[in-house]
Amino acid sequence: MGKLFDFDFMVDAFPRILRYLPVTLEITFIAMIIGLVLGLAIALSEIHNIPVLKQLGQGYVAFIRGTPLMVLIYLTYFGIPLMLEGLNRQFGTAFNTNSIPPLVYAFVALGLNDAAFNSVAIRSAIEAVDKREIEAAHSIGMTALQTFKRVIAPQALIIAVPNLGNQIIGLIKGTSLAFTVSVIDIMASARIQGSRGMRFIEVYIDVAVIYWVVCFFTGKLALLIERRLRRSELTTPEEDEDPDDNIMKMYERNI
Amino acid sequence: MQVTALKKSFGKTVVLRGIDLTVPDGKVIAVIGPSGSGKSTFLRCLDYLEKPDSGTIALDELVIRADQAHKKDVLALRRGTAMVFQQFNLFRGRTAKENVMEGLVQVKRLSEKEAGEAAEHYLNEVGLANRMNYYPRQLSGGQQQRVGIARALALEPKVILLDEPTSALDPEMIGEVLVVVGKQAKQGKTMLIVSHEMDFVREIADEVVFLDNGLVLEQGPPRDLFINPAHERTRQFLARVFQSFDYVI
Ligand SMILES: Nc1ncnc2c1ncn2[C@@H]1O[C@H](COP(=O)(O)OP(=O)(O)OP(=O)(O)O)[C@@H](O)[C@H]1O
Ligand SMILES: [Mg+2]
Repeated sequence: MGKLFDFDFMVDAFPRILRYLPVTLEITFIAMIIGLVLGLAIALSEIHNIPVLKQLGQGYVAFIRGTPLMVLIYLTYFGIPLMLEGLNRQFGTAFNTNSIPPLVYAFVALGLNDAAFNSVAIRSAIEAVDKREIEAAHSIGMTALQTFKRVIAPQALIIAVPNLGNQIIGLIKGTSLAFTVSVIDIMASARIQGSRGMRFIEVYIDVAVIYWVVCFFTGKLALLIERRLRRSELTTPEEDEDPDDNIMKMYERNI
Repeated sequence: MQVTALKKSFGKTVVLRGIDLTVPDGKVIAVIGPSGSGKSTFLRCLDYLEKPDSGTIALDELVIRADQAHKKDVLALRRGTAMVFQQFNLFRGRTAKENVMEGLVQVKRLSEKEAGEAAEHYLNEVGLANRMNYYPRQLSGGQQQRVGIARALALEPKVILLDEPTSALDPEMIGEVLVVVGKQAKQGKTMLIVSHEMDFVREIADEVVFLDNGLVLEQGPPRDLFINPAHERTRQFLARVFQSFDYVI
């Protein structure tokens, strides 16, 4: 009878799986960018009540919310080639639907998924910005764009960072489904190593450890960024050079 | 600044029923009136924090008709005025100095250095020379409000609008803010101030406006209006205010 658990196999497979970590990170990063940009666009169109865009955004979010990630990945995997083929027939373009790298499906599916959830987080963060500061910005004559850049965005970012951090962790875990469309990431690599030695629990422990470590540090990073952004709220008063704040005396002398 | 027939409703609630008011250069006009009479709404309309429904606002050569106000005009109006808020409305992520610099750099396009020097000057003016690098949360209410005043002063507005600048403060901090406002008034700044501090109003205001139910019921120098009000409503209001005042003392 073979071993119940092959420790050496687990150790040997680890570096071979780890080699594909850059692929996992690449999918995460690109999907995150898509998710943030699209998420922000949806959030802004809702906040500013932009007709048509707003309804599209809301419909989109509802659609994504009700679609399992696995299903969304298959929808893009089969949907994108179909769309391109349709374009080819309609407009005589010459997209080669067979040459699309599998990574693209992962970027698109995970990015689209992330965007919907990000838009909710971003919108609630923007809506939570102190209205009084926005009024102050208006009253000193800032334009809408300046107000957004100088007042709304920095505050909304602080509020959104913990949520967005969680989104990114979800995204990292979501990349483990990319193997279903033939992307070779750490998950796919673990499966390959596993089938090669016909030992599975070992490789899945390996891959679990990698996900765990990456997610752990992503969470830490988010916390660090939040702290850094919040420094104005966390600093304690400096030592007073002149503890006597003598405004009354100052004026009594003058008057 | 000249306001003509300014009207504002929130849905079915009519708040301002047609306000006419002139704020002459260098004068201090105080607005008093019962709670809910529309004092805040009036001031906010003058800075377009609320959009008035109709009427005109003229600030020197700039004339804004509410029904056809352009973005550019609104911006010009806001740049010609400055607001001091009841709740201070400081930028919490910025220090006292940065709060004052913000408008100078972003709106007036001063260099960081010039803005920094101006900010120091105005913070000094309100007695906060040793609090330049404090964040709002490190300052007392009175100090925060003085930063708010410095921020308004630094923009060198034609008119300063103050909406109950002391009513969110603990009693022991009211004095320091009134002293600062009073000094600016004496220096000839043009101001429109909503305040329930009647002694203060009597001291600094050139004219007092009694606002009731969205209308200017009467207007006059503080001495006349306080001692000899023309309307029964004014009389009642003043009696109530001065009576509650006695309680406090
Ligand atoms: N954003 C708003 N939406 C709806 N109603 C409003 C709004 N702002 C003010 N109001 C109403 O307008 C009326 C006048 O309010 P306003 O704040 O101008 O009064 P005020 O004279 O400043 O009172 P106070 O002395 O209590 O500050 C009130 O009845 C208030 O409920
Ligand atoms: Mg008010």
